Order: sequence, then structure tokens, then C-alpha cells
Amino acid sequence: MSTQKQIDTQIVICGRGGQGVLFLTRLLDESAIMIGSKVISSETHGMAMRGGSVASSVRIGNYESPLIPSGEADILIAVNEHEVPFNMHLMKKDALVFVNSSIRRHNAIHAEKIARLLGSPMVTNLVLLGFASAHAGFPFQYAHINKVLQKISPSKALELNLRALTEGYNLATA
Amino acid sequence: MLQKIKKEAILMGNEAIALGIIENGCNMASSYPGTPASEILSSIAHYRDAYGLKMHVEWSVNEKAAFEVALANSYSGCRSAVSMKQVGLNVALDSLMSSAYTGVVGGFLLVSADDPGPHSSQTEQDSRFIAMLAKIPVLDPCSPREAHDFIATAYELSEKYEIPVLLRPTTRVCHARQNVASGKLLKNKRKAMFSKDPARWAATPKFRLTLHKDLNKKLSLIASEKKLQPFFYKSGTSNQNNCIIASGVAYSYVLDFLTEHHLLDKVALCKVPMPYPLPDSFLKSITTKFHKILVIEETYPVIELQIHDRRNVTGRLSGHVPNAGEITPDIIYPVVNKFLNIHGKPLKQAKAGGQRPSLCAGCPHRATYFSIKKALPKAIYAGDIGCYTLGINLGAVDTCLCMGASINQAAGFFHSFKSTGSEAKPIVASIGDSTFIHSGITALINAVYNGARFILVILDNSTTAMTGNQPTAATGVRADGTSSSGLQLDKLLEGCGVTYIKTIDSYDVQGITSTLKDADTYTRSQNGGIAVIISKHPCLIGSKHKKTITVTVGENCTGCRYCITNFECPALVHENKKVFINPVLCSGCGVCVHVCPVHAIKVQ
Repeated sequence: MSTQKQIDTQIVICGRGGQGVLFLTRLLDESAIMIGSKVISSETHGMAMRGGSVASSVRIGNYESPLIPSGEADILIAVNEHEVPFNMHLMKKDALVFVNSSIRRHNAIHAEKIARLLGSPMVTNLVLLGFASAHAGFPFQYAHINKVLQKISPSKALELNLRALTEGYNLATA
Repeated sequence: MLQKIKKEAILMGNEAIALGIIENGCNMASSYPGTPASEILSSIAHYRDAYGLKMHVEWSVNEKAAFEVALANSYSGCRSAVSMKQVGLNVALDSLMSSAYTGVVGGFLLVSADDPGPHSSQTEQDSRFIAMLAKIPVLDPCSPREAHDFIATAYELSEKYEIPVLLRPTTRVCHARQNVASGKLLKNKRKAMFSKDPARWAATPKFRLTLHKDLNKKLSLIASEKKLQPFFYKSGTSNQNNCIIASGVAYSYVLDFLTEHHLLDKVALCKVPMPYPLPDSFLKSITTKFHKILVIEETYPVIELQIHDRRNVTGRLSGHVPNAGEITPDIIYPVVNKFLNIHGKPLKQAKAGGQRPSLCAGCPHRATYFSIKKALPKAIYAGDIGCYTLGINLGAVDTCLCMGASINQAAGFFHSFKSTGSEAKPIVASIGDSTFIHSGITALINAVYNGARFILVILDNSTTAMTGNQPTAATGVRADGTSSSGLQLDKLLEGCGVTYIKTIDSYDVQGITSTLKDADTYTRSQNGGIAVIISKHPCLIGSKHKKTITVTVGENCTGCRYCITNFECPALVHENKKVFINPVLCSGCGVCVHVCPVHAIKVQ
């Protein structure tokens, strides 16, 4: 068990099929359950996964249903920046938005470029999550996610996954 | 890989269902893959090994086969589970209708996963109506946790009344994740035993009438089963004026809304765990207790229709809840607000658009469809169900009805044009290997028997790709990884009476194009018939594919976008009036080299 406090947060993760949106969803689910929180999340499968738009929702707290109503999400993690506009209606006014983008702007990081430098664009999602975890408003701290990642990563991918998460975190705190 | 669950774990709805099946002494599970139900069977296979259980687990070739295999196990006194997507139940409907009459001995759990939306299906039909049609009970879980917990109940109910029981999760239950507490592991100690009873297991029409009467008796008893009665979220709320009746995931949305807006004291919330059969007493009395009732359910008005006096009842039937599409919080909240005369703040609208799905870079189907379009541009393209339905993006799919329909429809087009003396067009049917085995074989036999002429392209990628790469009967591997003698497609085709059979690698654009033209000639020749081309190349997902060539775009690219429009490969990117190849996405199939009209795309 981590020392983290109980939380009530609703997170949207968006991207395109194949960009690791499902893995991030699972990672956040497990991060929540490790601190003893209730969690319910929703994923996109099937036809939508062939490179099409994909969005997951993660609701941590006392929720019974998996979808986030419009205007109630606290955080958006956009593995693909082109998907941001299609999810903005879900966000609160003061929501935190973390984006993988080559354009320099608030809470943006070119996660894909960093992932490629690390050896694989497949870990773009984790670079972005590491980056987000450095923000004071993010519900899980880097160390906590790191622990969860060690638990759920396939052993073959573990080393690269951890490097990606750490690199994203370091760039945010540098 | 799923592991043994000690106390609690976060599980996808389908995993939770699989866990419930494992825990309740089931010794046989069968399925045919289909979104959103696919992960149920693969999870059962994983759990079986993690728990060290003896179980027969199979990917059947279609839902009817899956249903009947599992049914015989229940005839033998053992517990079975058969899972499928909702349109799969249409394929198994014949078996279901009859099995309701014969009933079962060992518990028979049927899981039919509905897809309101629809997200990944050709209809958003409601399996609860099918339960009603077949006269079997149906449980409607509102979450992964409840889906798991319902399985013990379903098996008890099935054995108490010797009847198949339907569990009807929807996409938002199947593909939601939630903490789920594990249940007690019931060790299966039963031995299969078949007691002969021809009046039941082989009933002739005369005995069928008796069975039908028995079934009616069972249903009226099931309707009053204490554990499965509609109930109020808060007891003592029946002094309210208004009531919302809900089932499935819609109940969870309503509960979250009422909780968040502190409305649970303002309206009675009634949950229906078993939408069919409902007790008459409930259906009659509920309308006398409240001034106004709102029914919220997915996807068709099953509960609403059963209420006797609907004068003060609103829902999907009355049009107060939209009568098509998924129920989401954004759909429900304004409906509930209006029902309670609350002025809610307007919801932000979602922006329309987003990226449409397309075939993966390097997908062998893309190459095949490009060749079909090139060789026979004026043909009628009868399509089928699978990843390759996305061939529609390439303009090479004109119809998509249901599993196996491409072949029957191609035959139908042929006879339609011929019998009316209309100008004959080339007809090309395309179907994947798994779909062909599912329901294309009988279609082909019919087409040959009745003298149809067309080209059939079997897109053989040696897997069931769309639903997560499950093996097929031709792969030579079973659900649990053991090997089986693989079905040989060419021999099967010969047996169906086809004499024109050619197998070509899907990436061989020139080979397929010339064969298609040759096949077209054959279908028109005096002694011609149906020409079958097996376009064979393994799906890149899940196969050990290595990029062996690098493709580049030369300076002579005119930026005409021909490749973007007609080939639609995600690795081809149009930027600053030129085309580039995204090296990350490119699989190195080299097919696009044949696509560029000015030969600007080259192998490096």
C-alpha cells in the first residue's frame, strides 16, 4: 500500500487505436486500486481499434457507472493531439490537459519524439504519463505509478517502459 | 495472462464473467469470437490454467455449433457456458428456441453481449427480446461486479428449473473495468451422465406441446423467484409520486446522477435485475403506486412494453427516451431532469468527427482489395463481416449484411441479372477465412448447386483478426493452444464442387490482378462456374513479421494523392503537396510500389 490519500478524480485518455490508450487505462486503474480506491473505467474495442479514434474514461471514487458525463472530467491525457477537440466537451472548465505535441504549449511534451529516441514510439503513452505525474494536480505520484508499472508490465517490455515513464517525469521536473 | 484471484482484482467485465463461470463448477465453455463478447472465452481458458481446472474450452466454428456442443454437456448433467455477441445469437437462435422446450439438467448459462450504439455490430438489437421470444429468463447486469455475481444465481436458477438462462451484458459492462471480489470456488465433482428420455430429448411435435406447457409453468414460477424481484434502491420510497425503473448499465447511470444531485429522496428508483419474466403483480401494481413512471433501459423497450397500463409510463416506446442508440449519461441526464421538472444546466456538445478506422499498414486485405478494384473496376462487390469490411474505404465493398452473406448475395445478384436478361456485370464476393468457415461453406455449396457464377475471393490471413486474433479451424490451433489437424481450404472447395481454385500471396498485386481477369473470363466461359481465389498472407498483428524492405518516395512524386485516396495506407502521409512514408507505421510490404501512377514510390 502506498501512502497516497483517497481521491475522487475523473480522467479521460484519448488517442488512436494502437497508441497504448488501453494500457494507460489499466495502469491508472491499478494505481487506484493499489491505494484502496474504488475505480470504474471504460474502454474502446473492436472496429474502433483499427487506427480509429479511441477514448477511455477512468472514474476514481464512489462511481457506479463507467462513462463520464459532459463537463465533469478533471484530467485529459491526449496521446494524439488531434483527438483533443473531440473530448473537450467532457472536461471541466479548469481541467488539466496533458498533450503529446510537437508544438510548445502549456502541459505539452513531444512524447513521441522522446519515445523514438528511447528506442520505440510504442512508449509514447508512458513518456506522457511520466510527464503528467510530475504535476501537482495529478492524482498519482511518479513513484506510485512506477511501482504499479513494475507490477503489470510484461517482463520483456518492463525496462523500456520504466525508462519512458522516468524520462517523461524528468523532463517535466528539469 | 490472468492469474488466480485471491480476494479482489480489477477486472474487465468479460474477465469478471469468465471468473464467475470458473468459480461455479462449469466444465465446458464454448464461443465464437465477436465484439463485445470475445474476451470471455479467452479469459476462461487463462483462468482454467491458472486455477488448474479440468475443463473443455473451445472456439467453435460458429455460434450454433458452440451452443449445441455446450447444450449436450448440460443434457449430461454438467454445467456449461456459451458466449457470443448479440448477432451471434441470431445464428444460434434455432438451437435456443428448441432448447427452451427440452430444457437442461446441468446448469446452462448463455451469455449474449449486446452492443447499443452500435459500436461494432450491424444492429443494436436487444437480446432480452430474444429471451422473451424463446421463453427463457434473462439477467441484466449493471456492472462488471454484478455480471460476476449473477453467474452463481444464473446456474442455480438454471438447475432449479432445468432451463437455459441468459446473461445479457452490454458493451459498457463487457469493456468496463472495476474492482471485483472473487467468489467461492465450487469444485466440479460431477461426472457426465446422459439419461435417455426420448419424450424430452427427442420430442416429436406431440410431446413438444407438453414441453411447451411445462415451460410456461416454469416461467410463472421463475417470475416470482424472491432473489430476482424488482426492488427499490431505498426501501420505503414508494410514497414518492414519481418512479424511475431501470435495468442494466442504464441503472448505474441513473443512480450516479441521482446520487450526485441529491435526488434520491425526490424519486423512487426501481432496479430490475431480471427483465423477463416479470411477475404480473409487479406489472399491474407499479402503475397504481406512482403518478408518473420513467423506464430507462437498453436498447429496446422490453420492460416498458410489459407494463399493463402505460398511460402514465414514459420511456423508449413513448419517445421520451430516444428510441435508438446507446444510453449515455449525456442522453439520460436531460431526460431525468425533464421528468423531475428540474432545470438542469445545458450539456456541452461533443464535437463531431474523429479518425475513421482503417486497415492497418501492411494489411494483406488492402493489397487484395486494391487488386480487385484495379482488375474489375465495374464489378459488384459483395462484402462480408470482419476487418475487411473496411475495404469499404477502398471502394471495394458494396454490401455488408451479416456473416457469410457475401456468397449468397453474389449468387443472388447473378441470378437476378440473369433471370431478368440484364447486362451481366462481374460479381466479386470477398470473405475472410474465419467467416468463410463460420457460415460461408453452406452458402458456397448452395451457389455451386444452383449454378451461380461469380468470383469468390477468400481473404485468408489465418486468423480471426477483428476480434483479437483468435485461431480458426484452418489454423491448426485450438482455444487452449493445443494443436489440431487444420482444415484444408482447397480440399474443402474441391469437395463443394469448385474446379477453379487458385492460391496467391495477397502482396502479389500483379499475380492477383491477372488471375482476377482470368477468373472473370472463366465465369463467362461455356463450361465456367464459380472461380475461387484464395488470397493468402498472414495478418501482421500477432504474426512474427519482420520488415525486410524499405520503401521511399522519390522526387518525382506529383502530390496527386492517388495513393492516399485509392490505397489509404496509414503509413502514407500527404504533407506540403508531397507524399511521405511514415517509417514507424510502414511494415515494408512494398505493395504501394504498384500503386503510384508515376512510379515515384520505390524499394530502396
